[in-house]
Amino acid sequence: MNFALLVLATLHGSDPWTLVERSERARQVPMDATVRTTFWREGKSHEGKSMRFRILQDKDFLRIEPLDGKGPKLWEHHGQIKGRGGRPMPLPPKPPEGMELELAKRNYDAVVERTDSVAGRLCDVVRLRPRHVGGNGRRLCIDPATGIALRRDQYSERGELLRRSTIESIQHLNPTAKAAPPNPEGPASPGQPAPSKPLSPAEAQQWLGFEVPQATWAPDGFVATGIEAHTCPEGGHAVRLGWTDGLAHFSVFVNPVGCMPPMEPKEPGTWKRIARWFHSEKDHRRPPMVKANLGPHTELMAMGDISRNLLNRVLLSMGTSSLPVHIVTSSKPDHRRDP
Amino acid sequence: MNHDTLRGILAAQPLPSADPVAWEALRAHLEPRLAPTRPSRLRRFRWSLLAGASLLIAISGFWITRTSEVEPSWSQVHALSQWSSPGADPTWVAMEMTSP
Repeated sequence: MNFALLVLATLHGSDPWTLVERSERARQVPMDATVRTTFWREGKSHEGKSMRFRILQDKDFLRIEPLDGKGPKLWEHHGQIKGRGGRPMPLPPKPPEGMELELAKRNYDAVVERTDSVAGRLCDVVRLRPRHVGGNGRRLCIDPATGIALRRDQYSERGELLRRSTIESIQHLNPTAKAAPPNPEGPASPGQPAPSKPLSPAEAQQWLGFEVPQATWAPDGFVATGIEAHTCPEGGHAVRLGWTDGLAHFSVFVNPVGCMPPMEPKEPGTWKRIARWFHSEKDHRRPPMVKANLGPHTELMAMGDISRNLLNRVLLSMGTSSLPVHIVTSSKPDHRRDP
Repeated sequence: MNHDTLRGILAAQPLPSADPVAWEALRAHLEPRLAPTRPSRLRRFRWSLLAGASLLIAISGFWITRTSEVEPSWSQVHALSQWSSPGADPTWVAMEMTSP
């Protein structure tokens, strides 16, 4: 299989990882882009839902506006994410340069498949297939002139198209663009650790007030990216533990009980079922979420690009005999297959 | 036989061969039942009730969708953490951050 991919890549004459790396560099520059994303449910390829966004990205801030319908705006300023009623959210630390790309090279097979046309521009199509079971494949349509990925597709394990993002228009900005964020608020609350720096286990324990539980198991190909400090909406302290295989991510949030509003009632009543029906349209676009209790005082919440059962397994591995993990609930049924 | 037909029979003169006593008894029996009655309250106020119920459903639906927060904001933190990752889809993050 790998040999066949190598032969195909050699015949085409382009190194797929060079193209991917170039597209990543092109994505980090200041830009003003309009992007359309279409989502499909697995097994229901005829029911696609589309959304359009305008993304304004500069060195110091990020601003996202939904173009279909009204919605809250969001921006980033001096390392703080603003939006959703003005509640500041700490900016997560960036991973070391090139770390995730190296991981992706280790966990995915890449091949330049063919050329395609997006909005009248010819582009190179790079297909990324996961080497480990349970991963999602990707397909990038990269413009050879600018290196920008004009189209990004994500596939299910069975090869069904789940998500397609197409750039409808893009304009590179001067890094000193005048598009300043409105109403920039002050820095983070005093006492909050610098959000741009990952925490050591000792710092995380100090921030959280108790020892951060460690996962003794992670899915194939995934490595831990570190610990970040976060603040609950009510003001309590929490941490995020992250994992990645280079392209896919999942997170586990650790916080004291009562720090976050409940995800859903233990026994959903009729009204909540109706509410879930109202929310069902967007549910399939969300990553799976699993909530668990670690002993009587700690809550764990896992979410990300892996299946619910794998999230369950990660959470269960964080328990000990004295502090067992009890899975409380999951946000939605999981349509993905598990290995 | 519908009510109009019955009313027509009762309005007609009794047949010569009919027993006048029996005829009057029949008329006395049927007339109160065939008299135009006032429509019930349910019928009179049906459109108001329908409008009220629709309004109630609309308000409660709006209230349910606004007040039931199924997902916590951790999903936004998770989405945002991928912004600078090679596997991240900017619109995925955008959708998560801007969803109501």
